[in-house]
This record gives sequence, C-alpha cells and structure tokens, in this order.
Amino acid sequence: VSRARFEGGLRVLVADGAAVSRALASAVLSFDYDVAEAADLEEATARLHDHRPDLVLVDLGLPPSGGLAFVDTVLHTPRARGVPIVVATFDPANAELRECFARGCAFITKPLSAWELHETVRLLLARAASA
Amino acid sequence: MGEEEAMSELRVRVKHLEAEHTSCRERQRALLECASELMQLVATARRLRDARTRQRVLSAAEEVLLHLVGAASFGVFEKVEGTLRLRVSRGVAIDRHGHVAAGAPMVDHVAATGERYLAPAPEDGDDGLLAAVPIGACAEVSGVIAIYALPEHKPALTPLDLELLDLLSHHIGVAFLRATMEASRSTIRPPRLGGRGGMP
Repeated sequence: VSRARFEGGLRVLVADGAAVSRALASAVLSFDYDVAEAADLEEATARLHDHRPDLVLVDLGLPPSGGLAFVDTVLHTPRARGVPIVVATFDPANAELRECFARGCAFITKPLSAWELHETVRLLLARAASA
Repeated sequence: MGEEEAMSELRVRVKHLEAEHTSCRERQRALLECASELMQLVATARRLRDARTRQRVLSAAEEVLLHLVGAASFGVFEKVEGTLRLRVSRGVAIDRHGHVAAGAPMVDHVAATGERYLAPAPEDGDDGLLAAVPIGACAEVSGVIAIYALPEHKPALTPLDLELLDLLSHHIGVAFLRATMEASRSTIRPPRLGGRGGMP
C-alpha cells in the first residue's frame, strides 16, 4: 500500500448516479486517495480505462441498468484484474447484491457512514496489496 | 539490566503505544465524521443551489432524502388551496385518490401549525410517521416533508438528518413560493403600451 502511495497515490473510482452520494464518498476518500467519479455505466467504464483504479466503489443502483453490469465490466477488464470492488446498497437483502457477493465483491450500506467507508476501503486495499 | 527487566519495559512501551494508537484512531474517526457531516450539508446545499426549477428542486430533495437521510419511505407534500398534495414519494402506500393515509392527521397538523413533529422513538411513531417537517419560506407553510420509515440498519434519525431536513424545507419552500408567484404573475395581464390613452 505504502509503495503505491509513494508512487503517486492509490486510486479509487466512485461510480454512483446520485450526485450527493458521489460527493460525500469522494470527499471522504480524497483525504487518502486519488478519487475519480462517474455518474453512470458509460462514464464508469471510461474512468476504469483512463483512471486505472486500485479499488472501485459502485452503487447497486448505478444508472442505467444497475451496479451489477459495472461489476461485470470490471471483472472482464484484464487491466482491472484483482481490483477490489465495494458495492453500496440501501438493501443488504437485495437479490442483485447476492450476485455481487458471488463475484467476490464486498458491500457497504447506504446512507454511507464516513468511518465505515474509510475502514472498508483501507482494509480492502491493504489486503489487495498483500495478496 | 536483566533480560526479563528489558522485556517488561518493552511490554509497557508497547502497551503505551497501543493506547496512543487507539486514541489517535478515535480522534481520526471523530474528525472524519465531523468533516463528513459538513460535507453532507455542503453537498446538499450545492445540489439544491444547482436546481433551477421547481421540479429539479423536488428531484434534488428526493435524492437527499434517499441517499443522505436514508429514508426508506417518505413523501413531500405541497399545500394547494388548503389541501396537501403529494409531489414526491417513495415506498408510501397511496390510495386511488392520491392520498397517503399513514400519519395523515399529524401531517395535516404540521401543515396547519408549522410545528415540526418527531416520533419520540421509531416504534412510537404516530400511525407510521417518524417525522414531519414543515416546508416554508417567508413565514408561510407551503407543505410538509414526511418520513415514514428508515431502513433496518438505520435505527433513528440523527441531528444531522434534522439539519438536512431543515435545509430541504427552506429550499423547497422557496421553489414552491416562486412557482406560485410565477403562476399568479402569468394571470395578470401586462398593461397595454401605446394606442389611445397609452404612454406617449
């Protein structure tokens, strides 16, 4: 983690259709990481290629078709192999979230808690660095 | 210094460092949460400021109620000729006349008095109503924001939620007032210029 940080900072991509939610996540994470934002699947896919994130935070309701489509995009992008994905959701019992679990994603509940988000991202990045 | 004594001293130092680390993390957590509260207010204010029309203000309010307050079920009502009309809602049971039965007497009371209602505890909500906040601008109550339910992982509304609701209340109030003024302006005919008896 620290090597990547010295080399120019770890990158996090925040993909969420709600501007207020995106702004909050981005503000909390930008204390420690280089953050890029995306408001829909198309933007998120573009950011995935040009920003090359070390971690992706995606809202399960990402427009237009839901966050699962972006999870699949990340998993099928060779350059993003092994990048941890955190799915944000209002409903931990959501059926699509189970699909995300099956694909190896972590999750966080909405409304976002600053500390929970901070800790989830920190632990996943540390785990990815030691893998 | 014997080996045992040195080990004991090290253990004390480690304990001290661990306590310091815990205290630093607690301080970091408190600061991050404080910063996050400010960020939520700023993000809400910005989102509402960028909403230029009445409909966009309502969309922004819906986004804030859903994503920052985290309400699972809510309604935004506008007072039109003394009657409350539902403008935005989520997760609310609406009858065929477009009315919301849950907590209706208390929502009416808030619209009439302009006094905020908060359920003493989530399970004590008045007929399924957790909170009702009057919408207003220029000392006039023009509607009500009603919160009916929170998700299971959110036990209660927080002081920050109430600040966000107050912020929304004011902005929606201004949007309603502006729409009403624009509607009444369009019904007033502008004076005819020129012609007989007109301006020279």
